[in-house]
Amino acid sequence: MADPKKEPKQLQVLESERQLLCTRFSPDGTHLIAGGMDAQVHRWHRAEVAPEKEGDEKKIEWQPLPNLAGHHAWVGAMGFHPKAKHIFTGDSWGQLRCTDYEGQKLKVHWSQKTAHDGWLRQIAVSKKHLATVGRDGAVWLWSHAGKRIAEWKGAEEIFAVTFQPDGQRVVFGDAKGVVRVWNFTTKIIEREFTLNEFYKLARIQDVCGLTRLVFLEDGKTLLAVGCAPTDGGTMQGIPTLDWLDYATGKSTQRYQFGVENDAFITDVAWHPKGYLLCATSGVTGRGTTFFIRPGEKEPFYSSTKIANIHALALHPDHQHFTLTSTSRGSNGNGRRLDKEGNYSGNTSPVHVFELPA
Amino acid sequence: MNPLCKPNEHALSRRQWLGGMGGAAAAGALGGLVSPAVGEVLKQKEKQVLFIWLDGGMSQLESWDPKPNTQFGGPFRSIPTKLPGIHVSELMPRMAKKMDKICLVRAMRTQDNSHSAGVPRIQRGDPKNRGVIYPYFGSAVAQLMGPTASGLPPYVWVKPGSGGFKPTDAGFLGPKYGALAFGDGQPPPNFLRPATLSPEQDTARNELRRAFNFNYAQPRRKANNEANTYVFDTAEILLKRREIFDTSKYPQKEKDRYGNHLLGQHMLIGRKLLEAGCRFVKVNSYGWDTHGDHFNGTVSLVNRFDQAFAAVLEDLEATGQLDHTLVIAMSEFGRTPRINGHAGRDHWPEAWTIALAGCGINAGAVIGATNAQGTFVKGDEYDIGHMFHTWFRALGINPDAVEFDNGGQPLPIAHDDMGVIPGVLA
Repeated sequence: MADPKKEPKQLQVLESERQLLCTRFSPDGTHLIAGGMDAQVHRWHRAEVAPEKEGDEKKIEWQPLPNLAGHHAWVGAMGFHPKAKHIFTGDSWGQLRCTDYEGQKLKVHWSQKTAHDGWLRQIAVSKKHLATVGRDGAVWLWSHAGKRIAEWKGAEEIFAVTFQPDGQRVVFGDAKGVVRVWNFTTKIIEREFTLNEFYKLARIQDVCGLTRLVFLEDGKTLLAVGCAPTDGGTMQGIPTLDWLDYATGKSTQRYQFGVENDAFITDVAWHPKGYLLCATSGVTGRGTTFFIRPGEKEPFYSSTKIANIHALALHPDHQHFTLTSTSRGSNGNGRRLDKEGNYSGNTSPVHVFELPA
Repeated sequence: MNPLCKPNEHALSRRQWLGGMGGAAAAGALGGLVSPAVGEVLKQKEKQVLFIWLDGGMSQLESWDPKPNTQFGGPFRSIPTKLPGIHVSELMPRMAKKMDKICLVRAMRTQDNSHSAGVPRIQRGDPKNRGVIYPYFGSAVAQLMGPTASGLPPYVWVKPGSGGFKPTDAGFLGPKYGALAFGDGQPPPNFLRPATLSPEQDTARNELRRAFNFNYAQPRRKANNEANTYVFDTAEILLKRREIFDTSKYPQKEKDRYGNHLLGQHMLIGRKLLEAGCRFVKVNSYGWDTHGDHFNGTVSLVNRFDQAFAAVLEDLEATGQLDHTLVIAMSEFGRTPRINGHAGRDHWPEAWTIALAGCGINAGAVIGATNAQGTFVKGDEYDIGHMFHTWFRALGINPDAVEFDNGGQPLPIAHDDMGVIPGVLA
């Protein structure tokens, strides 16, 4: 149950015409960027709005900017250049692009139409490099300028990728829950460990639960995020966080939230005050936002007000965050038309929150 | 161990057993035709059916009718096929190379968006309501065409999970025309003679069983006894081909080609059952009801179907069997273009696709179309009744002339207001 004293305050809801897959704030905090199912990169910028009444404080609003075009399929992978105001985006047809995210005239710095053969799943960025993973079972290491540097290829689709905190290794996890540590200099897989709880074969369906790999601040803890699947078809599973000792690959703490209908922890963010912000998406209509500290058995905050959350973004000020959800009544069998008689799709409202002081 | 059967395991008469053994003579099997052109039907004897049922609903958008880079098109690419201008989902690379062997009907619009009503409604052909329960297509074929000369059960079903005899498929035709289901691709557990029983003991036991059955059957309902007898008899013939179910003896290369997964192995057994001479073989896959995490799930689901379907077509073609086997791959409906909050697609009977191949089918044809967004059929729509007309015609049965006999009540074998789908038949 949410503690009203600790309840985040909702400030704004940003509307989108289509469904969104990933959302992140720019490192300078001026922009909110989202990748959509419409092959567009959606943008909002931070604006100060005059107060409605004299004497009130200036209000901060997120205002829409024109979308970035150029992709041809779902934009579900995103990362920011560590210095320049560039964004790296990847789509489900395998294209990787680097563009400006600030301003009206946006320059495309480079693009690789076939960075991967098919769905580019995730992007990780280090100070020097970029790593991408995809449905083709490949991991690519790139320079920030878009030059291919090294490749590793396996049999399974790869879902999650991150850099070791020193930037010297790429750590990635595949459909079967196998996590590998790749030394891209020697091109050798140095270690691998299997997170069995993140995979299930249900009849003939591979049900894959791993959504993210995240290093915590100490650099010694690797957090595996996702779902312990229990069934395929109408996929079910239990949202799962697995704290791993990176040195051994052994689980030091496992936290499972909710029931089978809750399915995935879709996104997380580490707050410098020592806790994780987590968002879940389960069967239609189910979703939870919860905050949990490592070592504790239960979240200190949880709320089910917003369902089917597919992205969570923490602002660099660490005081604001967004939840990218799905429009209400998103499911239903058969023909369901809107008031004008059109067959319309769902959308993804982006909810902007302020954390309690 | 007692070599005698338990009384409830059987009901049999020698007369009926002999009738069953003479399945090729098919007197019983054709008995239900009101206006049969019997000679013609007999000529059709060796036509067979492979009916691949993807239970739950395969998405047309991630298989046969992709709409890439559209609002509802999903994340996948489409790929060109052997037919110029025709694309399928990138999840079907093997079938893309075999598009000249199959016919797609991309303009299916059916009536039911629920599984519980939709599955039987589709498999029974959704005829006009006449207050009777129509047979599933497999039962209809079993009754109209009977067993092949092999004498093997005419309607068998390879499926995950439980097996046994499924009389309800037969509807008003009576339990005799139900499906003999091989759960998990295996014959019923008590099917084989126990090792502790000598052949002589087995023969003696069967003689005794028949005698008891004859007496047992006399005062009881004929249809049920007939069904028991028929199933037992045909199963006994199948017993002689029990090597079909021992997949450990199949060449590894063959198993790999079909795929080391349930659908692949069951498809392979299905092919062996066709080769052995079963008239109608249904191969079932469950788990296609992807209301959640649809796109991740579909990768393995469709890819494994693609593998197994391509392999069976290849083998049926290589042996010449495709010329006389009608192959059907379908679900009870497609899936919604709209993507729900659980990244799933729901049930969609409004615009979906059925794939056909084999005897009587116009290979390489793509019939009908959906609109640019893939939401609705553009142009002529076809219901399952049209499809039943088309299937029967492909098997050489004239649905306008042949009728079922429901205890004296003549009933059309397919929806009487519908007809063959133009362009599907060769």
